[in-house]
Amino acid sequence: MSKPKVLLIGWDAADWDVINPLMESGQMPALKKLVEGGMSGKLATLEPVFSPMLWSSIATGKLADKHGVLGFTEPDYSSGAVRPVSNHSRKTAAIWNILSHQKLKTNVVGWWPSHPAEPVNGAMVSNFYQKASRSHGENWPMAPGTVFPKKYQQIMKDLRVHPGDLTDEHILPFVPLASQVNQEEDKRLNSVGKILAEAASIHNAGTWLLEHTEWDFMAIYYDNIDHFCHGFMKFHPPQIKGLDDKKFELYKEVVNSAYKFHDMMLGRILDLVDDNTTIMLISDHGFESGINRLLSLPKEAAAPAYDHRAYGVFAAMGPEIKKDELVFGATLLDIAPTLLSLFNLPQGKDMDGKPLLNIFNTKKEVKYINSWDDLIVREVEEKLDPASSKEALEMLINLGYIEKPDDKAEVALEKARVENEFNLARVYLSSNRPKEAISLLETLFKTENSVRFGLRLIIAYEALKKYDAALEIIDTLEKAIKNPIQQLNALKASLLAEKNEKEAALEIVNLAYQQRIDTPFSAQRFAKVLIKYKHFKRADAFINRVLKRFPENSSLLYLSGVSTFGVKAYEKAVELFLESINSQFFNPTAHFYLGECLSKLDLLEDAYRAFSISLKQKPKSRKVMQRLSNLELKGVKVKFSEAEFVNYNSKNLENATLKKQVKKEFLKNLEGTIYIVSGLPRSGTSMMMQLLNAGGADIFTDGKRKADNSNPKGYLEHEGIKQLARNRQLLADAKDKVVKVVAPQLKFLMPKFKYKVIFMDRKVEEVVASQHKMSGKIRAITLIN
Amino acid sequence: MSQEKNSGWKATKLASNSTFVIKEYNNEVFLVNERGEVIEVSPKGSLAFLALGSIGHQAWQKAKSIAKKNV
Repeated sequence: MSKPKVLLIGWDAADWDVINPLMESGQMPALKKLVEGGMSGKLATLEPVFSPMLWSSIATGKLADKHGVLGFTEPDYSSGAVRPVSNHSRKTAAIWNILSHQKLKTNVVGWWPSHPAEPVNGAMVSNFYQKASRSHGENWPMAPGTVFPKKYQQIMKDLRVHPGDLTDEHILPFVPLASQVNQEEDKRLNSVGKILAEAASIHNAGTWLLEHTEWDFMAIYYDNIDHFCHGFMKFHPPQIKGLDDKKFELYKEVVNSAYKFHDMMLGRILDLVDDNTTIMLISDHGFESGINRLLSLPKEAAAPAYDHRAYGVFAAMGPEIKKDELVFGATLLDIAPTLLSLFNLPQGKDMDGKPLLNIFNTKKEVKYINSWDDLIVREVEEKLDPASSKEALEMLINLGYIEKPDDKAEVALEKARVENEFNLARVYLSSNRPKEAISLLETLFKTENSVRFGLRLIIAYEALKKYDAALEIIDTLEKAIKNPIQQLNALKASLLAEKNEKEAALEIVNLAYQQRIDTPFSAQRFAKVLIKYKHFKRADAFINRVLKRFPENSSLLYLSGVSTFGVKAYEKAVELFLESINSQFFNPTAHFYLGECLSKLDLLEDAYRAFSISLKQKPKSRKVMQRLSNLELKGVKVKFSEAEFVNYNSKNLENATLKKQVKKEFLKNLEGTIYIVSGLPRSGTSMMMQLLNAGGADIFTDGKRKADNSNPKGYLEHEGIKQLARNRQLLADAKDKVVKVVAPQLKFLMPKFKYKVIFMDRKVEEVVASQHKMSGKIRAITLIN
Repeated sequence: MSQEKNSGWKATKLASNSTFVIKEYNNEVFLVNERGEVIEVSPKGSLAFLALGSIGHQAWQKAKSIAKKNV
């Protein structure tokens, strides 16, 4: 096999919800080629959904507490100013450091954050490269440290596009009615030009390095879809209620145009690489494009992130990648490990992600080392240029990601520190480390009794079962804030339920039922309380009110699965658990419930697989072990060992297969209807069977029970029905037929088939009299015999 | 080909060629691909030339520079 060559393309905020209709209508042919020629799927993001933290996790395979990029900015105590996060902020090796260390030729363009550019075995163009810091026509210098090595500085400088260079030829495809824009009042055309010019600069640098340098790995990061979406998603069709008609008409094309332009750039890149190159295209998060779009954002730090969605895109094509298949359960943390696998390099044990082994068409052996940081000494020599930092800071302010730092340096530094501590607490909380989160949040909450700190502190206390401490925080917040907050009520109900204060918990939930449920978080909490007390239908009603707006929310899907399981609708529950797992693969309880449902449906082999994954994700779970033992008793060959579970991601594909299989089985089962004639013995079931037989119905009978005086025309029964409890699958042969199943046997009907039941309703006195008469006759016959 | 050069999205097909060289003839700039097809480069540029990346940018800059000289 030839030497691996890998191109990684980052499209910040790209989202399948916008892409899919464009691909289907032929407007994104390059991405379609990538999707159809390789593996694709959703890529789960991380908390908090802030791009510089996320792209650092992508590059390192590590959470932010390990990579050290904790927000958009950081306090710089040496200069006494707040500065944007930079290449200096990252304290661990990125994929390009590892590959350079392995003597692989490596180019990186535009990665956020990568300024100042660091020495790599190739070239690096930093994320300060594309920003136009001067007016059109003025000398436009590059910030020191923008390009490594220096020999590429001049060509890179010449390849930049200034927004002022653009003409109507560039702008009109985005805003066809641009001539109607009053540019004195409305600066949005400038914004289109600026974002487009920045995209073109990055693309120019990337394509030049693609064509003119030798490389084994190359990464190009475009932040422009995110910027277009923050500026123009509210104008994207369908029109949001309350949005000005004229503005909608002017800017409704911008978001789709942004995607189409990125596809054109991708098309060019695909032209520039050969068939031996693996291309991976990813985004760090999605972007809300549907009914949850906000016309205005709350006034708080990093508020634009409210528009971000939990799933980005993943698409990969190459000689070692499977074709036209879906990938499930991938997260941002898995990208760097997967790249290492593509280059057949060992994983760092300190990485939080796992290689996506199921995307490969051959089996990859996974090797480990303790940490790449033990081998690599990074050299980011270039100091940050204060002027460039200031410009980058202003850009972040303009985008709304950060507030303008306070004029008093001490206050500004403290605010930046607090934001980053809060972000770190969120990282701990989202990665199941409540103790670490509490140590930060308690201090933050003491300093400021804000809801955002308080909510997280409550959740952290709850995770450690410190329910009273959590309720105290709720009490403090309720006193401090004027308007009630639904999330606090939801948490309160949840905490009271944990303390077994059933009535108080349900009282809060029942009050909330009358209100609009704002967030998946609240719906989940209220639903959990209801599920705990077995109010499954109401729980599902809660979830479904929010699920319509957040159809991919894995927790909502999971809880809907649990409440559906509660009402024994197992096929539907299977669908919900699979949907939930597709969105978030790591959820041992969802796999467990999936196994439970499949067991109930007699799909024992599939149940075994689901339980196995659950056990891998939560080793030594006694509940799962017990289920596996039960399966073994039923004849399933249960074989599992630690070695078999080394990489649970390799099981991902089975979800796809399993889903297809279950669906196929489900649909197959629904293909025919089984017509049941039922009722108490002597209620007239045989008479009804005779009627249907005479009418031409196909009767399911083995003819063993012969006619007698009680039923001179015959019983039309099947002996096997008496053993229905032991052989439930028998009814698979009764499709489109009429079968007699007396009332006591009805409980053994498997829910996976479709039935129509004729229930004979005869007066009980008559039934009893008939039974007595019949049993007397039988006794008489017995005596004679 | 020249009819498509500046027509917004219609020009996307320009990006489907693989390698180009920049040619200048009679104060006009052209991109020539490996199959010998010729694309005229307008000083006004287009999205297609932006999407072509560095070669598209260089051709566009050249066309602009020549047009400026000729004014």
